[in-house]
Amino acid sequence: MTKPISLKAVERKAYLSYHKDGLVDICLGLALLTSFIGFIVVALYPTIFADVFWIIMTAPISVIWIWPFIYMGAKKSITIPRLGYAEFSPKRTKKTRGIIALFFIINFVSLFVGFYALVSREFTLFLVAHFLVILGLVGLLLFGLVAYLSDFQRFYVYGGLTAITFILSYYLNIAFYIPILSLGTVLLVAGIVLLVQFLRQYPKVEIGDVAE
Amino acid sequence: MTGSNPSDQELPSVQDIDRLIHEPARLTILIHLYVLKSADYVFLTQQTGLTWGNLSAHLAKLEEAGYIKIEKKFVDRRPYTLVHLTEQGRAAFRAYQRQMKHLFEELDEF
Repeated sequence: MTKPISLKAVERKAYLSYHKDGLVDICLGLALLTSFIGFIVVALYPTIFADVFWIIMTAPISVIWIWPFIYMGAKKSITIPRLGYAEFSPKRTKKTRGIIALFFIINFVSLFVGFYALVSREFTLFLVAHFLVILGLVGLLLFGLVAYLSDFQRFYVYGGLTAITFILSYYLNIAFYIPILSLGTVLLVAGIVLLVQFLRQYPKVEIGDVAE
Repeated sequence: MTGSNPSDQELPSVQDIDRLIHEPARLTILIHLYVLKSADYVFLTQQTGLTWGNLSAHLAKLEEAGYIKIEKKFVDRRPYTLVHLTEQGRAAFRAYQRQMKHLFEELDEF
């Protein structure tokens, strides 16, 4: 039996095919792994900055300021030559802008929290005590929001995984950088798998290949 | 309308169906262009499953009818040949959608 055509489903399929290249997963994974390396360096060579300052600021800053440019560059050189270029509906553009705004908000809130932690000892002690639980819940909320806005179902899984990893580490008394390392690795591996599948499904289109 | 037979009244709605849109390949193209702001040829071939030659031929017919517009555009200093639905094309698609819905709603069991 023929399935009825749903315009929403067609739009969703077109949008998701544009994002099943795994690039966003790879960039997020690399951002987390970069943060992990940053934390290790700070732990080995504690110098000018307080640990809390780094813990709060490194991850969001690396996500906001470096990786979007790498992501956009990769999109232009990997995805568009294979899948083509499309501009999505204003509704979809609005949602994408919502995600970008969300990341800017995280960045500014993190900066504020970081500076406040520097001046308030009580707040610093609270953060240190509950840091992993806070990160787990914030991660769950953020991944959940991005999944809701973008229709990337796998982001719900990442959100759940973030909450479980960080909260478990809190109760099992595991160093904070271990869940960051695990989550970064999971995202990176998932992204690479998706990218390999994408490259196999969509070989680079040359004009000679498509002209008849 | 002067016809007294109900079947006479139904016939014009079938006859009025936009044949340009009713062709499966062109309908697939229009469905995609209706939900997107614009897309290039590569994206349309990937989404519709049409070959480059087929797509070009159907796009030419749709452009001739004024349903779509094909434009060269620079995005981040790269040239793209983008296809988008015109207002006329959007209206024609909506009319076709209404007509087909109406037609099948009116068809009774036999």
